[in-house]
Amino acid sequence: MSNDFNCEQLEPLLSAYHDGELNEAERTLAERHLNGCDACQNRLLEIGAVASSLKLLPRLNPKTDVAANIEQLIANQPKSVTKIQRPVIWGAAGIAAAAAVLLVAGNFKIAPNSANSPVTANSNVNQSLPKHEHDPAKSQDLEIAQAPAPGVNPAQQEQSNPAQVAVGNHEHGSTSHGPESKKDPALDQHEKPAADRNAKKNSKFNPHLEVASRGNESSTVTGGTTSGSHLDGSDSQLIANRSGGTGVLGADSNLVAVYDTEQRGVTEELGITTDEDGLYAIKL
Amino acid sequence: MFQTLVRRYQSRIFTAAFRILSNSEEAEEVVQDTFLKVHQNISKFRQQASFSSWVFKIAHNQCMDILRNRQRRKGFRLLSFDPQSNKPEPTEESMEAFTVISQLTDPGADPSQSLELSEQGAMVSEALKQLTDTQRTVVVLHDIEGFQYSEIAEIVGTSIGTVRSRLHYGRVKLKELLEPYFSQQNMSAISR
Repeated sequence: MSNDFNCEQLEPLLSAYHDGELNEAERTLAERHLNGCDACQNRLLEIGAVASSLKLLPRLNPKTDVAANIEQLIANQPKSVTKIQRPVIWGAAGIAAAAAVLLVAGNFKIAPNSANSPVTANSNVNQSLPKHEHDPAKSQDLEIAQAPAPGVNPAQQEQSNPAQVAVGNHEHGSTSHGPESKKDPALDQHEKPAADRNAKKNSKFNPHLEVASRGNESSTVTGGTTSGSHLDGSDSQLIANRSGGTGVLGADSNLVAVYDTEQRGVTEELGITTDEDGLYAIKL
Repeated sequence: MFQTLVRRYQSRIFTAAFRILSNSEEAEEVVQDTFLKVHQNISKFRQQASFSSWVFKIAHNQCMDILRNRQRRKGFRLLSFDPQSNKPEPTEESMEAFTVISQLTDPGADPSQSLELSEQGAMVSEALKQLTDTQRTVVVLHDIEGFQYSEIAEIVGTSIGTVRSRLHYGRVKLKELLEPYFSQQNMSAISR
């Protein structure tokens, strides 16, 4: 009899007893105690009442019939599903970082030969080596951060037909969430017609900010490794283009901010680098 | 064929996800993502577990991702400098102080809750939200979806003892929350 359960010992087992999930020995001891304890019997009754009330909850159906759309969902599923990071969070952090760097950059005196030299932050790549030895580890980090999502073939991105993608999404676009919303943000820029992209470049609502030295009308980075940002030319978006929506940052700062509204993957493209002249390339 | 499978499970998964997440849009997202993952990984299914356990394990993981993201966002809001967010977060006690009745009349409540036609169903549904995520998940999987303890342990990736404990203390909490209602309705009558 000394092995019998008391009330405290039985209490955590009451649900399992109710559900028939106790082993034989436990069940025997539980029943022996319950036969002589009104309090535990009431407790068991209450547990049973709660379980029964939960079973009465109705079965619910989703608004959209997933079964009817599943073939289309599967067909439109990207090969590699990458979740969109929180653009608001990263955007806010990036804007703060950009503002801090711009303040610092405004105080730098730019080398005299840089005024007429190529206009990007990597302008001196082909003219002089940086004083500080390039840190390959840092460069690798940046390149990884800006690399296309795994499984996404850049060549396919280039060749994809925006109109076709747009139609495909529209056809099953009754819900704004789900796997469609998780598609690789790098692909998003190919979903919009070129005219639309150009129009958006001139928009003031721009989460992407690129800063380059002012001097030429347009210059695209095609080589070099100093900044570690967009230097391979494959995604050469580091462009100073006055006609594409620019703003002078301070009278003598000699910096031009290039606004780019394309909704690219924010975190993947986050990179802040500098070269020896104190020119900064910021990409949010 | 896959469509038949989806049709068979979509309502169960939506119900479980909605009970766990208390959000119909997120629950729909869970349903879609679950079946896409099932389709992707169906070749990996081994009949060591039941198929329904395997599907619900995938759905459970989706739900946990959403709950973790909520926590992350909540943490970010607390750290933000937005003066609007300086209101003190409600404590667990203050949340409990909300009566079930007042929550039922909340105009911002999820429209799907209108499906809770019975008063008792609405009471229980609201009380369920007061449980911890882990308790609620186990309660939903057992008392609504009818899984056994061993299956729930497999689905949520824990021991049977932990399932037993979470389920019991979840029910005890529900009983405390619903006590006023049960005392009115005669508990013994409900349990039949």
